Amino acid sequence: MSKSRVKSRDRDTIVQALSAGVVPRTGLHHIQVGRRLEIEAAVNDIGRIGDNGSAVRFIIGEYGSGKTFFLHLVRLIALEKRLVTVHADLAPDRRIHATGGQARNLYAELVRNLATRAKPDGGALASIVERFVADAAKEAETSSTSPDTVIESRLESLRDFVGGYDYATVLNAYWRAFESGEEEPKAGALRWLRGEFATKTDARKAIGVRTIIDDSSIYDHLKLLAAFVRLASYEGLLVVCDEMVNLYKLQSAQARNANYEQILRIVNDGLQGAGGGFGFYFGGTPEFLMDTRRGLFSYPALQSRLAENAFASDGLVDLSGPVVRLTNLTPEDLFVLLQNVRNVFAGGDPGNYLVPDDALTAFMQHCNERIGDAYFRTPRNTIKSFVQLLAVLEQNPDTDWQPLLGQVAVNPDQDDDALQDESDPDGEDGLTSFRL
Amino acid sequence: MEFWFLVGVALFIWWLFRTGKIRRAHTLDAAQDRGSVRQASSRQFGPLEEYDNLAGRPAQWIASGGQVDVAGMAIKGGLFYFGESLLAQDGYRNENCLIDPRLKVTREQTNERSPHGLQYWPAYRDITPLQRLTYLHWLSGGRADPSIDIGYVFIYFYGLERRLFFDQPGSEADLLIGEVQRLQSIYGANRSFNSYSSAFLESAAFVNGELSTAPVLSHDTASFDVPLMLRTAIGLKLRDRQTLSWDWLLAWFLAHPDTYLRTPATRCFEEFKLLFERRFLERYPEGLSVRAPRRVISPHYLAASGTFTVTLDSPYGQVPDPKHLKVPIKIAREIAEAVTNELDAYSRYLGRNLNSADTMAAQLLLPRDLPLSPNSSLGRFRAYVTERTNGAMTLVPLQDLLDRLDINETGEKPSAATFKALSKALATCDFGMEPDRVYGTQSISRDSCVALFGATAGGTIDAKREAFTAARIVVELTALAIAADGVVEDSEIAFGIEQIETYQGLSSDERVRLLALLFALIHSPPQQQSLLRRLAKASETIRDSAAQIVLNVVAVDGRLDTDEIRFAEKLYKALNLPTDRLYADLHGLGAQQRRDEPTVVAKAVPGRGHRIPGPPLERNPRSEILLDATLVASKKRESARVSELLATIFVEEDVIRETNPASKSGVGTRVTFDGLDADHSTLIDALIASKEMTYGEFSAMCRDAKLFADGAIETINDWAFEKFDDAIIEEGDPIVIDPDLYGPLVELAQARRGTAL
Repeated sequence: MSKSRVKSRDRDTIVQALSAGVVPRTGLHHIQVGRRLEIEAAVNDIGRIGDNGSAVRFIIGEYGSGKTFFLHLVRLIALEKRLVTVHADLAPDRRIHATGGQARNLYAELVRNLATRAKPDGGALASIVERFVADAAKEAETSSTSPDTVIESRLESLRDFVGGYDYATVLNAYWRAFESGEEEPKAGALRWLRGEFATKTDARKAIGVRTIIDDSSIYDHLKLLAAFVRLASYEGLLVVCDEMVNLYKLQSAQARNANYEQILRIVNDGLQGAGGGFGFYFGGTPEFLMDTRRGLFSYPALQSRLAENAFASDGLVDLSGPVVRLTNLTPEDLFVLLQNVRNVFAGGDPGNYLVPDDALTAFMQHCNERIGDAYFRTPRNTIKSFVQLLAVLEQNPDTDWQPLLGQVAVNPDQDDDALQDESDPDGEDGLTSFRL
Repeated sequence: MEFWFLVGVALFIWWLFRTGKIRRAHTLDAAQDRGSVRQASSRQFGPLEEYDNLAGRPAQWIASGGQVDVAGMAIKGGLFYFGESLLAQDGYRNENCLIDPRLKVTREQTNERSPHGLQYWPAYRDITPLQRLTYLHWLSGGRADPSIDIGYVFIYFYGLERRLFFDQPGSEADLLIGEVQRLQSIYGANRSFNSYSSAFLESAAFVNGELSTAPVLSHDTASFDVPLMLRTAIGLKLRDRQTLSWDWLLAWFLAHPDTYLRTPATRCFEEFKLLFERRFLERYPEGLSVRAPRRVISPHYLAASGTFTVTLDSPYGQVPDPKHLKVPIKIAREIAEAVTNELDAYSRYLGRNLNSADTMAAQLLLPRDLPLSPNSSLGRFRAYVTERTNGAMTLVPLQDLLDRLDINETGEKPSAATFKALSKALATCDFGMEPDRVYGTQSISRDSCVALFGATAGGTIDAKREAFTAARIVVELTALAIAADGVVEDSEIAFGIEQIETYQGLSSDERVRLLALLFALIHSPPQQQSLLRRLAKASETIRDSAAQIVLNVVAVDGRLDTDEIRFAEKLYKALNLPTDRLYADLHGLGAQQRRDEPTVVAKAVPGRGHRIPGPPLERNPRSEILLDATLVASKKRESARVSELLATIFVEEDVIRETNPASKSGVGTRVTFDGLDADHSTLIDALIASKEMTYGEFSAMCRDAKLFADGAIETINDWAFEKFDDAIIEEGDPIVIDPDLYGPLVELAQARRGTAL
């Protein structure tokens, strides 16, 4: 582990995020443990997207294996590489394909979370559109042509895409509204781009476009979005969909298959390198992948694409396939992770370490006694408690860590999934439901 | 013995009494034959007349080749006594064999034979004239007519025995013995004659000292007494303190008057002998040792005619007489009884199916350790199997084997009986097969293959032993899993073999059997459903290991096929395990393979029986935490590399890059920030100047510059990332510059101006 200095801003962000039990927004490289090959693969993917290529990955891991952390890390890397990212968790009302507006919901959620490096927390759509339009206006100024013409010519390439014509129309409308200083058409254009129009009539009234982004066209519009962000001088678009298990939970086989068909399109485009500077990262549980009745493997075309090299033989790693398997942490992983957290707390200076290595094992032992092996398999609460322990020690420098340890409360982590789906009797921890 | 002797004496007296009556009856018969009542009445016999007849010219022995005339007939060939008086040993009567020329013979030149048979102890003097004619015809006619009443042969035989044993002619002995042998060959079918002639020959041989070195074994030798020669031979062995070999004991037993052989022993006498030898040698590898009794053999010849008894000269001296020994016979009887039982099934089969001794079905019923003749059908079967397997485990279509078993059974699946027969045939040939119903596997169809393997006595095992049944289910399951994706890979087979080889608590026979089962099942996978049903009933340990093994097999070829997973799903369902756990387990396997650790395959197996590790990496939850130091070190190394990789991406620029004065940014008159156009540079300057401004002011400024407020902030912050690795404008209303970056920004702005000036 590089014991380089940790910036105080990073340090605070990390500490804050960890104590809240969420993935830190920045400074992930200070605490990342292992997964070198997976991360290298992700970096390569992002490089390929930046080169107008494509990528698709399924990040498969059990609850607590760090799917979300990994996806987040990938997203941050993508942002750092000047990609635009959109991300969303799938949910019963957010799917890739639907007929009742659920797919549009997903699209809306994705675009709501559209992030750039400058706006990593999402909501960057307006910024990108304005940046694009402003660039065009500026170019118009220098070349003494009308901004309309520049925008038209720049958007020319979009017209090759499905629905590209209307896309260009909407962007034009935005420019015109800006010029005329009208806020309403501007907002309308952004609403359209966010997929917030539920009916075509509304869209026509607001901005005079006859189509809307609807359930059947969200993949096409994601492609358009990818093309557009490249026009706005970003490197590409990374789409991150987590909690894919929600598709697996769809009761209707027809609905499931329709979604899997869309995923097949994405996988085909991604694996064939169809280009376009965009990539997809999906996060899901093993059953989402492997269940032969309801998982991806129930869709033969997907199965054949995803099963090969699902894991390479002879213990060799093969990440050329689209499936990346994440294991749950081991006690050793956790130990290194605790060391990293300690290092972050000390600002990267070993002289400032608040506790010795012994305390780390003692802490693990303590957690083990409280919650069993969940302490390393689903480490969220373990880390949370550890950060709190360090915080107390930091604020009370004279305190000895040993007596404090006994007072640390660790609760078993709970599967969000199980909470969402109360009908599922096999939820990981039945006690949780009672407490609710 | 004394008892029998008394009975004999009583019988003899009774006979004497009776012959008188019969003689009268015969005479009457003869009178009727001849129509001469007068003659008959004149020959009213009584004891007195016999005494009368005792007087007369002494008879003489007509040597071989001699000729006499009797009643006008020339009798050639000799070998009989001829004359008027030849006293029996008791001196009260003439010998039965004596041809008295004074007695009447029917004169007619007729070939007619007396229709009446002779009585049991016939005598020439007592028979009718017609019968005498018949006898004389026989004598002169070559003495070989097989259809003649045996009584005539006896009359002739009486003469021979008297000559040999009573008169003891010395030089003529061989001739006499030869003649008796000839007679025996013709008339031996008559039990009585056979017995007497044998006694004759035996006594002759005894006297000549012709003891046979090997006993004659026949199930037809039952007699009133153990033959003299046999007794002598055995007695000599006892005297010499030799042990009895199986054949002597068996001969003794067979000849013993108390012996009664049941049908299996007589019907299958050859097999009986072979098996008797085996069983005897099993019990007495050195032979049976018997102590010689004190009683000695007193060799006698009791004439068949009942007219004399002579003591034979023993060339062997005093020989202990085994006649009264009971223990050896008891032992022999035990063995014979057991052997007879063993042959029972075979014998019954032969009884039901005539001429079936050489069929496979019959031979299979023989005890397994009977040596196999290569020409028997079972021998041919063995040759076929040996050639087919050629010393290796071989898959053979079941039908091929059945064809060679002469089992003609229709129906898709052979019956249990057929399987049993096949299994037994193979076992007899020192082969085993799997799947084998005898050892508890399911029935298979005749077009599937069985694996043959060499194993002494077919590798018999206890198929109900728990360890074995457990292992077998595991093997069946392994085979199913291997075949689940329709492709059998070497790695999968190797895994299956390793499973069996490392399975604890199996004997080598069991292991070989399981290996064979694996091969056969891979080739012809068993029915999933039935196996799963059985599995559901199996013990928890078995079910646990089953799940784990299947996962390992599914994973071992490095691919996850839908079919494999589907099979695993079915299995988990059958085992009543949550399918969620299946995916977690599968995932664990898949992911685990990436670690630099031994694979789960190796972990599942080592020396603790078949305890299966739980989900991957599960540790005893409450135990002391033991960290693997090397693992920690390798994790740290890997993390360090990751950190380096990430650090190059998330560049931490603490030092602001030197601005390049000659940058392209110097467009127009306004001085710009490096990498930013003039409009945005102006905006930054304005922000620096005012430190904070409302969103409205900012967007107004933007509009003047034909910029959008959000777009401008985006552009500026994007630029700021290049410079400061962070955004400088904090969004919101009012808009402010990040206080941390304010200082550096101002420096940069001044530096820019400096270079611009």
